[in-house]
Amino acid sequence: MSQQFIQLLVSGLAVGSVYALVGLAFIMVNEATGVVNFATGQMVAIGCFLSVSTGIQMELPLGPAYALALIGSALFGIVFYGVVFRPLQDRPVVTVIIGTVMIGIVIQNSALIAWGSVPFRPRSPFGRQVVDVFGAAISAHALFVIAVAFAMIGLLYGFIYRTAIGARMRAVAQDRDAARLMGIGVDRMFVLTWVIAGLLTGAAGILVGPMWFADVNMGDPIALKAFAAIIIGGFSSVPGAIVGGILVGLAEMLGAAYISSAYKDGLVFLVMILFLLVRPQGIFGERIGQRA
Amino acid sequence: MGKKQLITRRKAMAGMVAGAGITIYTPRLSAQSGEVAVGAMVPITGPFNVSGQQYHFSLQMAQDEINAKGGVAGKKLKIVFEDVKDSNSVAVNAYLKVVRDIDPPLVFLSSYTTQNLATEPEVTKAGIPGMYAGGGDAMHMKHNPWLFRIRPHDGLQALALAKHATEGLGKKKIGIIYVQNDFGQPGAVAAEKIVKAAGAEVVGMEAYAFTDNDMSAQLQKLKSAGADCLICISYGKDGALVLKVLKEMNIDIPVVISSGVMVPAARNLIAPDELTKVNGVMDAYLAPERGPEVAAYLKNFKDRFKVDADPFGSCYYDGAWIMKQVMDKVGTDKAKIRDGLRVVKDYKGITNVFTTDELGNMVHSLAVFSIKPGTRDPVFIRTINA
Repeated sequence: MSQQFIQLLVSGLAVGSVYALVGLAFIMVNEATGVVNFATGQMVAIGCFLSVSTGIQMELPLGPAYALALIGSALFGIVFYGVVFRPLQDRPVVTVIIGTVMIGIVIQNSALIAWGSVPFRPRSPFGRQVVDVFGAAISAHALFVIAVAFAMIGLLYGFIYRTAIGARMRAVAQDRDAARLMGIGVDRMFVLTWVIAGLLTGAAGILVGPMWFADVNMGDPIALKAFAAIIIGGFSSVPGAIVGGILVGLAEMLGAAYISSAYKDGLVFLVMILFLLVRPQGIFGERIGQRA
Repeated sequence: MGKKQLITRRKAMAGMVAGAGITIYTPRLSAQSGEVAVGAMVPITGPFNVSGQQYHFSLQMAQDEINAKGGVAGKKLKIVFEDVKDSNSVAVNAYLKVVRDIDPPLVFLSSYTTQNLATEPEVTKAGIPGMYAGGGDAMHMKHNPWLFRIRPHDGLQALALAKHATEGLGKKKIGIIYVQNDFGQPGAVAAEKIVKAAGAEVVGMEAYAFTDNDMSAQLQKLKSAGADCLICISYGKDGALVLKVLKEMNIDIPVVISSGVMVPAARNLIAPDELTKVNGVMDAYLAPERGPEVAAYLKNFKDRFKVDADPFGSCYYDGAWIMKQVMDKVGTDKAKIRDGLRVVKDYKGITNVFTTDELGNMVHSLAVFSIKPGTRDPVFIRTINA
């Protein structure tokens, strides 16, 4: 493999890992509540800016800074549930979706007031260290992003499929009323879902900050690519979000290098449209009819 | 009557009271007697807010200083700001709103070309002079007699970048990386022509989207193509990302970069060792050494807004003072102001010397800088004239 290819591969994997985390946040909320949260990108930005506050403005060491930012992101998920989703949950789905779009705008402008318009450059635990991988210069932070993202995905997978609480969450996702009749605290499962979504988006924000800088408009482009990733991978599938995220990240990098940098985004969205036309359930998703 | 009464007397009274309340508490935008109200279309929120904030601040400062010196045409100056975000339709609506509400004798237009291109037909219809900072050459190609550009146009920036890479640094194999929009694409094409005319080779041209965060694939391609110098046509944050990625990828070649990266907010994102081989153009040499007026402006700006002034936003400060000079002479008649702006000659502002040409461009030079080693401080190299 050429050095160039290795460099692109690692960059694509790092970017794709972030898309996978954000895609999982989309899926968690959608599976539990039936709603696509269009404020997911702004939740990523909030995670990033909380790490700016703790790591740069409060000058905490990075361990506590990240931990506090993650706790803040989880709390933000709870607030989101309490302020947006809970009051609207019995309304038509389109009302809830519009609610998430509007709260996304509110979050973005609130972040602008709170943190200002000038971007920040958050610190990485590895500084600006570059490591040699088969002759290719690779940012240590990019490798850290890949490792943390996959660790988080593994933990999430274990939590959902190997624990009793995860089973309850899946029960609520499959049939809310039946789950309630079985004695499962549906509202608590909803809160937990939003906490997990907050943690996933918060982690994504914390991880991308040192790579891409923190600015209040950073969320939407990430969420858009993550959305394309889950359509490609399968809207209801955890493995689908992971594979879709990685595919989108790699398509961006390799497409820009070997096809055309001018059309790299077009390439990603072309793949997404092809999936919608040919295999709308994505790589791992179920057909709509199978879910009924 | 059996029919249910839909509007009771009490409801009607409540409606009237509410209506009166709204009338009383609606902010009055129309110009008061004894003041001259002008409009300003500023990207206060959205992705363009980094430069929008500077534009906003510099006009606030100009307004207060002008009023402290007697206002304009003997009246108090009031600048009515409208947020144009990052949307053309919002910019057009904001323009129509400010024209309807205050019928201004002059409007400061957006600092972004696409918004100004969208607004330009309305400017003609309204017959109100407009000053703007967007650099796109497409604006002056409109030959609109009501429009005046208060910073260097993008063609001039492309000329400066290409000239400095070839003549200044003596490089022969140039790679061009640019943001893919109305700013970057024409700039890259113009720079390519100038590089070739100078006898050098363009080994590659790579684009990225304004919202992109990773340009490593594009930079890798340019490196593989054998570039010995990069021309980077970018805004602030994206340009800073290009420099960061170059360092991470150990691509150790000189970079000549556009003005967006040279403003303090963007330079502060870049580590000093990432700036080692960077040369950049700036709209103006905005440093205290230029004289006491510039030094006072920079100090007052920093004291008031807690951020450093940059040349991009500060041109609106100069624009406001040029407006005062013209209005003091001709009053608030729109056609007379337009005619007054057309004959501005050698006006020495904070950012530049302003002389209006036949296309409405008022600034005709750019400054080129390197970076003092180990710092983020620009060091003036040369001026490039149109």
